[in-house]
Amino acid sequence: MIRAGTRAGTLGGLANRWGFHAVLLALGALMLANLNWTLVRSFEFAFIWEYRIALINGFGITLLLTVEAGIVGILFGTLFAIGSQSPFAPLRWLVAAYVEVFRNTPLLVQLLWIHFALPLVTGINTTALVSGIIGIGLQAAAYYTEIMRAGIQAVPRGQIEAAQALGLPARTRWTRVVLPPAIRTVIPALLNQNISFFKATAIVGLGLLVDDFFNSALRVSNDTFHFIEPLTFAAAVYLVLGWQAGRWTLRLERRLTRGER
Amino acid sequence: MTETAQDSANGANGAKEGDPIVLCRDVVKRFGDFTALDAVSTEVRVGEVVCIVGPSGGGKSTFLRMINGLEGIDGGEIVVDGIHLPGGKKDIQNVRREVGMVFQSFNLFMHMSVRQNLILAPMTARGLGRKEADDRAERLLERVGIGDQIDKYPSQLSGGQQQRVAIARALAMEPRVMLFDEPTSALDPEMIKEVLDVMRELAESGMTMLVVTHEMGFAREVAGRVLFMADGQILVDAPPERFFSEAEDERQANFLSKIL
Ligand SMILES: Nc1ncnc2c1ncn2[C@@H]1O[C@H](COP(=O)(O)OP(=O)(O)OP(=O)(O)O)[C@@H](O)[C@H]1O
Ligand SMILES: [Mg+2]
Repeated sequence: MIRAGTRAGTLGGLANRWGFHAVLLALGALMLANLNWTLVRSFEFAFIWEYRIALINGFGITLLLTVEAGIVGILFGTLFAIGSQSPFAPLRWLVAAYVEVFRNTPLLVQLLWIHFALPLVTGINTTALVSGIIGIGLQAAAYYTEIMRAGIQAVPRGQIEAAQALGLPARTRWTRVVLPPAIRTVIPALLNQNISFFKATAIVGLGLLVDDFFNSALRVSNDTFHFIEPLTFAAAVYLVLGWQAGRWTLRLERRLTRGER
Repeated sequence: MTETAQDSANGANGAKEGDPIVLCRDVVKRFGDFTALDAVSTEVRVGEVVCIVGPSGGGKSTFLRMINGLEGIDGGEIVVDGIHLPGGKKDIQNVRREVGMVFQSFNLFMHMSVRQNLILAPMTARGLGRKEADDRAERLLERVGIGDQIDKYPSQLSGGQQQRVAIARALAMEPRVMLFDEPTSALDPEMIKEVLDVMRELAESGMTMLVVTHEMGFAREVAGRVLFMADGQILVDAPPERFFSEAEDERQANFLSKIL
């Protein structure tokens, strides 16, 4: 039963990989056939080197936003996920409302709202970067809440009952019994989510004109009137890093599930 | 003596040998429209070993789980060493300090070593120091015969060893009453004896025990009383000699004919 399933899975995986490569080849051929070779021959990437300082600084901001999304997201996501399990119904509703609002509105809209509408409502002005940090943190918390909630609910009921029967205080029950296995099961999901936020930081750059990596690349375009090269370069950087991070996460996931039980 | 607060009106009062320590009066449990326990009344004295037997779905687990507050009470009351349930959070917490529980599926904390499993509750719920908790853990593991496994993880142990760790973990809180819900049902036959031996030793040491079990040999040898539960009621309450020789209830006779 299990064996057959595994074999079918491997066959499926093989077919997928073949399919994947076939599609890539087809797309490549299509592009090559239609390429504007005069334009392609005129490409030059060397001038990007001259903007390396700005690009590296921009990349620093991108990293800052990515890491911040991870830390704020996991911290508040965990707290909110615990709240979502509360016997106190209004707290559960509050968490549910928060999650729905921030997961079901576009990040760009949230960012613009925080940067331009919030100061009018509250009188507090923030810089574009701070607005970006707040916005991406709020959205990350919403996504991570859902991930952590799934992890918490995957902890066998018997573990919690044993903790209750032992008279463990609620706090210990959470920190020592429920959260460690819950976090362990969702680590891959948390990392994948953070890869998504790595890409989403470009929206902060463009939407709030924060000088992240993407916006820095766009500035190079503006400065040099070369539009395609910096954009292509930026895309390549996102692609390589996101792809590598994804592969690394997959490896980690395999290791974690192998070590289980 | 336990470290439980003695001054509260609803606190543990330190029942002596022979005093009632678990008292159930017309206990009712409902799941929606379904009545799982229908006015169950009984009494367990300090040092008594009571085995609970009966057909599946009869309410045995539910009854046991109500005694340590894992299930709420919908009617009647349960008094554990002077602490009344239903009660507030504090009362439930106090009852749980008095009552240890062993589950069919062990429910050890899989991400902790055996030692961590044993010292967690004494340190966080009883306020024991690390040294004291460690000593207690080592002593209890010796007692259940697996002193050499203290730094292993549960997944490295056999089922029988895991269940003995679970018993030691419950004992580490120095409970006055131990509840066992089918402690050997998930075990391979060759491991059942090692767990029953530990339970027998515990009974001989004077521990008050309520044991839901299908091990009729154990009930016959160790129990002071056997309760027969079916349809959410205690239909028979008799010493084992009588319970197994002369059925006083039709369903009991039916049950015994199937199981013996
Ligand atoms: N959480 C629950 N929700 C709904 N019904 C429940 C719940 N827990 C138990 N019941 C029902 O209550 C009745 C008694 O269940 P209980 O588990 O106490 O029986 P039991 O005597 O322990 O049976 P078994 O020998 O199979 O363990 C059963 O009909 C069961 O379906
Ligand atoms: Mg049961």
